[in-house]
Amino acid sequence: MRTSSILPVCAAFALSALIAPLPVAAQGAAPSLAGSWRLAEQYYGTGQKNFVEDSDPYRLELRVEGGALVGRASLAGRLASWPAYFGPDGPRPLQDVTVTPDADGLGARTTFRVTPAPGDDTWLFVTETLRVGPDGKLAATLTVEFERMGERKGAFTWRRVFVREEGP
Amino acid sequence: MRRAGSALALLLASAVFALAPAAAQTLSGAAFHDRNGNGLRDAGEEALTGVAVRVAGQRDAGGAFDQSVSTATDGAFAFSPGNGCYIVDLEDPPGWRRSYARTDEFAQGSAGYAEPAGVRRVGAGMALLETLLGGSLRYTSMGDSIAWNWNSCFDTSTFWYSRQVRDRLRCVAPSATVALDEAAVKGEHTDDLLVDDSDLNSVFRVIDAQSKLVTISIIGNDLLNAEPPDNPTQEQVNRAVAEILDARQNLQEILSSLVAGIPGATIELNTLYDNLAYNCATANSSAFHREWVPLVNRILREVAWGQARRVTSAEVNLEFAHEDLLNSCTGFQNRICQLFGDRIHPTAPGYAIIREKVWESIGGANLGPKDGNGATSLTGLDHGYLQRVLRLYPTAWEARSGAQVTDPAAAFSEGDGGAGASIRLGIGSEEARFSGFPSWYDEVVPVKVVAGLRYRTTGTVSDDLYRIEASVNDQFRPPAGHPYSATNWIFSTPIVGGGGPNAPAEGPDYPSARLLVRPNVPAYREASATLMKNPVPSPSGRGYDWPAVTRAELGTAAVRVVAAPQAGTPGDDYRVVVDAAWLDVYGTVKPRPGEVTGVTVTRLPDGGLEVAFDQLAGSELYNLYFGDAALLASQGRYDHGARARCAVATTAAGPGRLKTTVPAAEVPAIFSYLVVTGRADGVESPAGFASSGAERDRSQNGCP
Repeated sequence: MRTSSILPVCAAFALSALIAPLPVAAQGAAPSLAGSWRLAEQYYGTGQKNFVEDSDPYRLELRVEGGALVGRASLAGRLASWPAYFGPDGPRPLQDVTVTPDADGLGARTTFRVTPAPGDDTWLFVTETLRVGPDGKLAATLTVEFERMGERKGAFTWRRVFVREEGP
Repeated sequence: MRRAGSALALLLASAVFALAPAAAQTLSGAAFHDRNGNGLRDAGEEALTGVAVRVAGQRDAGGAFDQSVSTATDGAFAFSPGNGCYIVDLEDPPGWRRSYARTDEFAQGSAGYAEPAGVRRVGAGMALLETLLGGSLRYTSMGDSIAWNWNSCFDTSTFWYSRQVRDRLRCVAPSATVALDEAAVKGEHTDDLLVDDSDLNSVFRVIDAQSKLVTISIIGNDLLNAEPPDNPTQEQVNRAVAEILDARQNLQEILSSLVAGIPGATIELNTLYDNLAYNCATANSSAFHREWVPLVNRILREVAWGQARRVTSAEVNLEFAHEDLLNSCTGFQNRICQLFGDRIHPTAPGYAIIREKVWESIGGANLGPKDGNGATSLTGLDHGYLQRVLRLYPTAWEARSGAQVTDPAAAFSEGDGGAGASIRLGIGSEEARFSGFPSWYDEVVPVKVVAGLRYRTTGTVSDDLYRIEASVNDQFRPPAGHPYSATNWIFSTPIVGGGGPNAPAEGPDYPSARLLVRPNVPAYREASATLMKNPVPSPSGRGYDWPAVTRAELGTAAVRVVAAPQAGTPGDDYRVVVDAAWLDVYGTVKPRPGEVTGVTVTRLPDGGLEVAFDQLAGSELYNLYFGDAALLASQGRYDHGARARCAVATTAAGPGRLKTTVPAAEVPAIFSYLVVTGRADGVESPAGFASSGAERDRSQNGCP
């Protein structure tokens, strides 16, 4: 049987409530990419199955620093600078990283390449898009293209939805 | 070799048995008549004697092992090669086709399921062993991320299970060269294998390479991308089913192209494990998914089985599914990678299961340390066979929507020296339909029916294609707005032609591709497919059963060649030439009663007739037929089908004699001949025999 996911979620919510006494919407803050986000939905391609389970949530914390979009990602207690890619042994070193914020500050596009595990002969070419929607949620895609021995060997795309955990 | 069967082979086997105890380090099983085609030897399914069996490989103790026997009178075979790596191969006897591997599930609550091999679901009947022992084997692993061995847990290397199979083949034949093409591409769909590009994950390139072993894992992505959410709308269900039908069509084209394009190649297709049921304890996958994964797997098995040269299936699905049946799912969860970004792909232990199933499906059987479970004996390696009892040809044709058909009757026979019905299609919905398959063979009980044809093309097909497909009821497509459901979604069986760039119509998968098919066929090519119809709810309340095509449905079945334009522009000018179309009926044959004898006819005073005849043993009823004697005399043609008196009332007419009366008003006014038949166990007796010994036209016996 799978372990219950209720406790970690409740703990996260309590912590969030202490830090941010008022909900973001009540503060009337302008929509922004900055803030803390939790992955709530993840779909494979055009599929309809949500692959996210509440245990070990994936989180993004984004902020603007010196005009640049920076942040960090966390998964299962492990932290990495954003953009990030987590392998089985934790975050992997990225190469050729680009981060391109949208002009209105509501979205961004990142690209990088990474080997998924030490010694693996596959390069993953990752493109991630983020965009805050009118509903206040962060809609994202993560497209992974595979390259092995110099040949592109397929790709897949995750469609993702993040929900805000605290205000900008 | 492939055909052993010699007295010498039997003597060799006997000598081996005398030297080694049969219970240890033994490979044994039996060949049997698989009357219901489920791959299992059920009660009453008789042995098949004389089936050629060969085991070849390398002993761990050193030296090659290569022996052949014929199955004994009880269908059994046994070899005692000792620990080592082997391939067991049985040759399909003439007129028989091996049924697919056993498809029984692991019994709920059973203890002792031993991974990774689990239930041995073996295949046979391929040319792999001969090719391997011939010294060179090119092996191509096609498909998706499963063939690639991807997972986010990174506990297995790239193409791990294919490499393991390659290494086992090298073990069987150390002197042979076995080269593996790691062709699979992650994320690909059935469509991708039909795109004519430079990628080796394409039937075009694999045919160019003439790979003699091709293993395929595909369709998982088709399904994942199509699945509706819980509580789907009918529109969402229709969209998902359209994708499944598209994938089925693609698979048929993939396999039939490979079978035709690579003579003698061994082709293997994986069934699909439940790729979302990692948390089956909480039933978190959608109801649609759980309902349709078994249906999709039935498609995979039937598409493989019905090819002109049978494609073997690796029963991945059933070995993974056993965890569902145990209700705890504790083992199953460890077979699917749970790390971030995955929850679809097998872990290393999961891939080990797939390795075993692929290995078994091509006849692999290791003993001792080289076996996946370390087994030193493998017993119960049973092989079921279905008998082809009829090949039926059409007797009618029809051109529709402006198709031009020349010499249509040439498609009614294979015995015309290659003459074919020539069909010119356009860019609309032109089609030629062949039907009128005989349904009067009432002694035949169909289990499976394979629709096939031999065809070629003339001219050039470039961007407006054709399809060839069959239907059990002459209805090839659902009516507009049809609501698909699990019991009402199969309207036709694809034989030739993939889904194409504009399929499914609701959401094309590959709109930019030029072709998704091998359209130009300059020399006659044979293609076939298991004729399928809709499943029905199982009486057990769990899943669905697949009823066999009935004898009556043989009479309503049709094969059609139809335009399937992609570009819809003038320019393509080609013809599809059909040498012959047919339905191969696999099943059983009940004994036919003898003809009714001692028929006497007496005119009654009122003008009626009293017909007396000898009682037919076991007969349930009797039929009377009147025919036109003048027509018979002048043209030699029987026509009594139209004047039938079915299941007439009879009374005793002395010992072993019966009689019936025909009222005057029902006696034909013409000069008539009379036929009396009986029916026993649903089988009607012959209408008699001509002086030449040929049976009188059975098609005239029209009583049910």
